[in-house]
Amino acid sequence: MLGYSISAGHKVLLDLREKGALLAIVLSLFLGFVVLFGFIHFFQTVPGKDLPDLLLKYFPKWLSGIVLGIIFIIWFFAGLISLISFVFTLKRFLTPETPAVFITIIMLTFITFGIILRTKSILYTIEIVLVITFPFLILLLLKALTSNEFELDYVKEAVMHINHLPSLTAIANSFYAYLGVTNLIIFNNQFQQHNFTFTWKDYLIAVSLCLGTLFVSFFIPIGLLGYDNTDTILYPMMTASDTLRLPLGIIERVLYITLTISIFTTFLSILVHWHIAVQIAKKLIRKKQNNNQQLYWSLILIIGTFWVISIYMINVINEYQLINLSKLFNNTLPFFLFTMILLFQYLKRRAR
Amino acid sequence: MNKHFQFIHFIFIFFLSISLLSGCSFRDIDNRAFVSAIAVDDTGDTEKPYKVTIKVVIPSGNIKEEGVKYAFFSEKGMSISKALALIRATIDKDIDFSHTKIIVVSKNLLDRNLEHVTDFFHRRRDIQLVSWICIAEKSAKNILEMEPKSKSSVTTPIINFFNKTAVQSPYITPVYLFDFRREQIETGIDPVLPIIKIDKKEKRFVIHNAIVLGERKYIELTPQQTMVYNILRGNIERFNTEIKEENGKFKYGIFVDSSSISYKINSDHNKQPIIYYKIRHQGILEEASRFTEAKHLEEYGKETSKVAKKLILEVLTYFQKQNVDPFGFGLRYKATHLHTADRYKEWENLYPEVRFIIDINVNIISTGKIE
Repeated sequence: MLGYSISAGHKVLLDLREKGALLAIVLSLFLGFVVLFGFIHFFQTVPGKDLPDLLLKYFPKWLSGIVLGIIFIIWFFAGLISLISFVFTLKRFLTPETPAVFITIIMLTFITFGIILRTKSILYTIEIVLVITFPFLILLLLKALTSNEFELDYVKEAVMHINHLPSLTAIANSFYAYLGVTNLIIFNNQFQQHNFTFTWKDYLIAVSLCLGTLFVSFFIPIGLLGYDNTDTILYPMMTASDTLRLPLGIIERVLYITLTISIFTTFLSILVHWHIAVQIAKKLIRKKQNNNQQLYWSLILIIGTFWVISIYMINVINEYQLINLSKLFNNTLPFFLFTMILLFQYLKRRAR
Repeated sequence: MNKHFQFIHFIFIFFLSISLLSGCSFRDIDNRAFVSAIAVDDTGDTEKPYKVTIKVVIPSGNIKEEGVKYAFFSEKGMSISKALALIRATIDKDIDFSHTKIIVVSKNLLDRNLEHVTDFFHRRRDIQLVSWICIAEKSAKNILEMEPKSKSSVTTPIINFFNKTAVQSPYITPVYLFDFRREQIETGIDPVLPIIKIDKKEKRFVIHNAIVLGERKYIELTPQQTMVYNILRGNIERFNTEIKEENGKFKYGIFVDSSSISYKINSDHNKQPIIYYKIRHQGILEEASRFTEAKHLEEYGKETSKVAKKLILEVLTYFQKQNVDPFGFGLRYKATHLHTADRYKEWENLYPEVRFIIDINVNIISTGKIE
């Protein structure tokens, strides 16, 4: 939830609240389910194998190179956008006096360390962070919903705008919340044997969690900041958490609790995306030459490129461009992912 | 261990140590001046319209020995940020707004667009959105500098009036900064701000009134209207009210300790729109001018309902006549009608015709400790 609330996705949705954002959220349920089902169903048939393995096995080298290259770029951009949005948020709210480049370098240092961990360790990290942040998430959620200042009238007004037809941007941005499952393209190699099968109940839980995330990040800013006011606010979720106070708590401003937890979740999101990007690059390089030394050097080169691009982007981009960039990025995702599901069907047939 | 892994490790440790070396970018606490309240006044000068006053609390090492220090700084400027920049040059510490709790705006500034005045406070990230905003009857600076006779701490005493952990009164209308902004920008609801006056003789604050900021006009409320507004808006649940005899003498007073208020807008086509209020109060007798009898409790309740109904109706029609909407009827109308047309415009035409129906029931459950 917080990961999504750092990203510009919910900002875009809130901007489009009179252009069908709400209907898009509801519609994204079906799209999200298709992606969820497509990915899980496919990867359950090939336990212990990840996408690069399969592609390199069944496809000619050049074709799989191109496909993996595109995946690499997309996952890298997903991480980059999270990183930039998060650095901006941190700079705006937590440490306005620290230079953005410095925040980026600190983040990058830790992320780099995370990227080269084994995939299994990444999965454990996700688990630990989830356990740490979950109670706080529940606290924040309850705090926001039970706040006296949470005006239902604003929320109802937003619901009354359900009759607008959604634009592509609205659908794509709400669709973004369902895309966690796509990380299976690498993580699947850790699931050697499937002790459990994904039943309908599991699908239902997964989809409703995503839908809940969307509703929460859409309605909480509206309820707390007002319906007409939300689009004048750049960081709706963060600003919304600033309207809450814990009068007798250790920290009175809830904003700082939100920021601290969002450090965890965003860090995780960047980590996962870039880890997958690096893993894909690794697989590609290893296929070409078996020389270990070259592999390490190219890894260092790739991570170095990550550093250079991130630091360059932080200096160049401004907030408006960032929102437009992530809008553009999110808009391309649905097309890309549905192509990927088609690709899976092809792979399945090929494997038979 | 591979050689290259060692190299990567070296890089990590190198960068980690860099991040430690630079120390923290925060300033030490003794280099900070914490602003506890900001006041904005109108100078009357067109070139430098704003006069900004801040109350600064200076951290001291030992409160018992040194006592608590605070100071006021004020400066004029073309904009609030300009004035603050000038103030910044006169303090030997860094101004820190993260503990600002009160923003006082002078009433003269209402003639100008208040949105422009408060813009600065919303734009800055370190001013809390949960600080309170209020209007000063005359000079906002004097309100900051006033030391009431009940003064107890360095923090601005006004905080205690708005913070419900201390004072709870139906006459006080606490408004958060963010609440003010959302109501100002939203169509269909008008913000209400409390007015602070100073009783110079008695050295105390008087916060009895409120002001409704309608579109391009503002309406000051009497204490009675302010109370009804706060009760109907649900700002306060506990309050007292008194019932008079026909000749104007005091009959008995009632303390209400729980209330539930809801309203519905009924707007069928071609019919006069109706706002239907449903109010349930529960309370006890607080004071009476003569013996009361427990068996007459229901009668008292009915009598009180009648009086309250008249009061509430007066206030509601007053707002309607003035064409301001502090209760957010327009917002409710927008929230209950599917957006197929410009609902707010519709409501603007409907509002002057609205009829109010009030269903009020005051349930008095006790005569107190004595009968």
